[in-house]
Amino acid sequence: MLVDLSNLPSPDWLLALPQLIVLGLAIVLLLADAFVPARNHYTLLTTLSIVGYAAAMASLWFVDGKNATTFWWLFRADGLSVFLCLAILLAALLTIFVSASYVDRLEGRMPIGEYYVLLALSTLGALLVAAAGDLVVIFIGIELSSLAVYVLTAFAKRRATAVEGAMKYFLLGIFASAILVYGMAWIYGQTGSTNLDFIAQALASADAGGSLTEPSLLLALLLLVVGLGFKMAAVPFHFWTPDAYDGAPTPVTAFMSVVPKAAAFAATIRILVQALGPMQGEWLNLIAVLALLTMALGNIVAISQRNVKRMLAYSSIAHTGYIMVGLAAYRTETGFIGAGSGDQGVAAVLYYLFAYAVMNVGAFGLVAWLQHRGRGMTLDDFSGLASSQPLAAAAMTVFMLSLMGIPPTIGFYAKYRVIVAAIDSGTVGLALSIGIVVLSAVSAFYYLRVVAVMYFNEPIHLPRKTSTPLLNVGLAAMAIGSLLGGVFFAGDVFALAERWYRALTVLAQVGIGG
Amino acid sequence: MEHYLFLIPLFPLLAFAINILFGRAFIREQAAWIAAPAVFISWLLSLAVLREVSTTGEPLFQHLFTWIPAGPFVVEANLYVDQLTAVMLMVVTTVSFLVHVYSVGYMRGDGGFYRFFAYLPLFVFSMLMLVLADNFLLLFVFWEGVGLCSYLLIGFWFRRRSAIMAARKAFVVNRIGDVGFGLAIMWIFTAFGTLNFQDVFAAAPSATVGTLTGISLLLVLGACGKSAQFPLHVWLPDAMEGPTPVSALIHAATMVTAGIYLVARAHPIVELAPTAMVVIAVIGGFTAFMAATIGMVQNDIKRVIAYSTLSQLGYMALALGVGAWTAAIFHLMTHAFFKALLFLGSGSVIHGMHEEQDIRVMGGLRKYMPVTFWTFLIASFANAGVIPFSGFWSKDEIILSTWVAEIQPLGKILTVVAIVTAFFTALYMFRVVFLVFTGKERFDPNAVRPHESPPSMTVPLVLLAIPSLLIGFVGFPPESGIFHRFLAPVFNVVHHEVVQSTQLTIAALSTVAAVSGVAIAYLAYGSRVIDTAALARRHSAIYSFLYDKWRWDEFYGRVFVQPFTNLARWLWKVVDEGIIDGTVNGVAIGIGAISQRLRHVQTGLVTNYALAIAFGMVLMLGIYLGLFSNFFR
Repeated sequence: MLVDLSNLPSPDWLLALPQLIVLGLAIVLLLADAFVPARNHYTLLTTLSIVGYAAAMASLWFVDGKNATTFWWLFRADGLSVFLCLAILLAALLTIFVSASYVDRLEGRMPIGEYYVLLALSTLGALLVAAAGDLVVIFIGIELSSLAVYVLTAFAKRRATAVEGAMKYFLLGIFASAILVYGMAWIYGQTGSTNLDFIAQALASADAGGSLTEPSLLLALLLLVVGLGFKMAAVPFHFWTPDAYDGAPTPVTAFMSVVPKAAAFAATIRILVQALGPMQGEWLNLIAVLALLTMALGNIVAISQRNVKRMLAYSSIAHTGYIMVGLAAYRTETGFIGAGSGDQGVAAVLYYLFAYAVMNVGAFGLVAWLQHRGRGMTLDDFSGLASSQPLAAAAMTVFMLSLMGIPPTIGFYAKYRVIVAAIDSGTVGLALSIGIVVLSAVSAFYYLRVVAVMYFNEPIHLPRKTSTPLLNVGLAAMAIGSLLGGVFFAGDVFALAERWYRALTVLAQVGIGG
Repeated sequence: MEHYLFLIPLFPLLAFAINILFGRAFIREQAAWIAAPAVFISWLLSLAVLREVSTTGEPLFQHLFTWIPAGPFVVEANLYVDQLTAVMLMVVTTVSFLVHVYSVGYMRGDGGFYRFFAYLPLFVFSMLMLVLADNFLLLFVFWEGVGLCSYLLIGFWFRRRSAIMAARKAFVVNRIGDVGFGLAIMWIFTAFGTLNFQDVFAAAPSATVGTLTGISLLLVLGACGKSAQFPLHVWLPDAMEGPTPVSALIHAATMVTAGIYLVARAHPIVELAPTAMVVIAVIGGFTAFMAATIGMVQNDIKRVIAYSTLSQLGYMALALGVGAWTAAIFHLMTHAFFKALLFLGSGSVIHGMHEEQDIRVMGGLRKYMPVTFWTFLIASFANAGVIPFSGFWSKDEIILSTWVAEIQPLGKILTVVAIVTAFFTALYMFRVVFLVFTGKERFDPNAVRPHESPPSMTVPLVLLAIPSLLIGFVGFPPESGIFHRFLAPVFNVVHHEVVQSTQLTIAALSTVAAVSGVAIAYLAYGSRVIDTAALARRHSAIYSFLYDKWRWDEFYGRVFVQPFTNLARWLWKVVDEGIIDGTVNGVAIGIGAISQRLRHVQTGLVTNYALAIAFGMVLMLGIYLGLFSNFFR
């Protein structure tokens, strides 16, 4: 592939505006951490972070609809990237609300500057994956996102469980990264390119030649699925999840349950749908089986957890399963290039990630809220919450109902979209939707147990009085969003998610291949 | 008047609303002052309506609103008054008002006084709407409305277990009939595309006999429930658990005649279905006979009158069955007055005897309560059908119509049954009269001091005694009295060409039957020439069969209730608790167990986790390379 460089185009920086803003935020935070007096850190850095993520979200407005590519097709600004960036930035912003006072006051006053920097870097990594047009960018983005989260997991470094969880996460993470990069290498070896569109093109011609069953391609596919499955916490690659989630400081858990997962799904959509689209006959059923295993195991094991944080960790595995159903419902004969409105699966995945960010950060946020008030994370710590703290109990109830998927919460609409897409996709999808419904019924047990404990049990000890204004505002916003977001904004958000397929086709632009 | 029809039911409805909302806290003992005047206004308005209808001869009509506009299914809420409705309005409001006045005395001091005077106007409202409705669905709504009031008032003393059971029995038995009525309405709509009376009746002749028979039989099933005809008659005797004014108004004079009214209203359909007519006639004749025989041996004064009601309703059904629509309504009217009077009179007796209802421990009450005695006597003569009391004229006309009916020889057989029943009627009626009012006092004079009831109770008795005595003359001469001419536009009466001698023979026969019944009652209970106790001993099988009310309750209990209860119990214990709960709980326990098992997979050892990843990958590779690739081919 030779490109004429005699007329070297300058990069279109504007396309990368959100990513650049977050990168800038990380640098500014780093500098401010070094040069601003420590007593101002909390207010200044928190404000900077909030403004930064909000500005990045606003900048998406410039990017939306551009459908362009830059840096020699390494970087893409298409519908998929816009929506993923929106969900990731929203999660990052909500994480700030949940984190600020926790980092400042609990677990022995962690250095807030470093915390925010790492958060920004991890977010940047996820944003890069969302906008990636090349396997290498995907890998760099995932690694950037993961490395920051490894550190964040161990951030409460005096607590042994935090270090243990981080260690496990890190060891298994690099193991999975190795597998992922090995898979990428096989793909490159077989197709001669790391560009997603070129890979798709090569595979399409391989499909025409009937050589998609070539073992090396299947090996590459499986290696990629294992690597990505680890990142999104799919069974049987999920083992790190409970330990890491449980060990990490609660706001970090909230963050890592959403942003790296979103990055993993972004990478999965980019790789499987965009690049390996012609191989969908090979991977759709694999994803379907993994989805079923993931939601079954997540939901079933969650039942026997008495630690709410750990229960939420298994619940997040279960939700990975639900989201994967959307992926398994992907149905477009021609792959990413010709993807049309006929496919609802990927749109459902995207919408689910958005809804999941709101309700899951909220649920973990409420655990953090209780920790502020001297309570632990077990079910007993929730008992009688409704009598002493009715609003907190109400918010937790909303999050639980939303995670359960009860109308009219946002979680219901997310699940509904996935189920609709799955039913439309055929018999396997129908079986998966039955699985979702049955396992949602199972999930009702552990979600409602929290609600029951809050409302029907006597309080064991009264909470310590403390004020957490920022956290309260965030929780209120997330509770209202979970309760009403599905009703009032679902249409707009889903319309945006459905534009994911308005992806430019690089091949047509440069006139290579087809 | 046409534009003010809605006022007739409105006032009782308002009285209900006021008393139920404010009765408990504010109105309390004054509740009757709200209810009785409201019903009185309805009576005045009904009188005006009667006058207008009788002068113009034209039906009145008022459109209230369109209730259900659903495509071709349109139901209007309209009020419609023809001659039949006008008669019903008069009967309902007159008896209702007198019962309201009577209840002021009867219910004094009862804790539920306000509640009583809330339910009673609610009943009047529902009953008025029932007769005013101009389509089947609206009629059905208030059919259920009166049923609800009946339920509430039977169970008025809800701390008494027997009252609750009686209310429930009435409710359940009526449901069976209501299902029939409901199906009839659906069938009518499917067959005619409308539920409006006039439209349905206009279209009826074009329908097939099968359709008409089906609809008619279902309507008759509904009527059997409400009017307590065999086989759904079992609830009415138990309904006497309610306060006596309720028995008089609802379970004698008005609500139980709703079934008769329904069939009479639907006569353009029913008369085109000869099979259904035969069924009604047989049911009516049988019920009349059966109830009269049971009434002869009961000892509770209200039960005797309750079986008498069954019996008289049977006569009305018989009249419907032989196509004597006017005679049926005529008897409905006369019966309403004398039967209300009988119940109120028995209420007066019960009141005066300190809530004693057993006629065996009464006797000689004539000198203690003369007004009650004389009015009761008039009502008894009317009920027994002794000339010239009102009951004679209407009953005689029914018997005559049966004799000359088109269905022969069934008509002749039913005539014999009716005359025999008339004999029994006189017998049981005067058994009560002699046992209660004459002879020695069989109660302990020291414990019970019988007294005449207060004027609020005796005045209604007197006022009811007048129509019981005289109202029969509106039907004189038979088949061509004022009453018949008035109702002629509704029923298109076919004049039976009856020979004078036949007419006189029938009249003489029924009079002989009645008088001999009275005579035998005198011999047995007045002069004690006949030893009834010895008679009962000698024919103890028959006696106990009659005393046990032909054992229908036991029969139903064994054939329907017990098997159904067993089925329900089986569904509950085996299907619900065993299979359904077992499955659900079993799954839950199973999942819980799996969960406990699976959580131990999370060993906490990172090497195990890595092994799991590697193992999963190898497994996937094996499957993919083995099955889907060309690696081994």
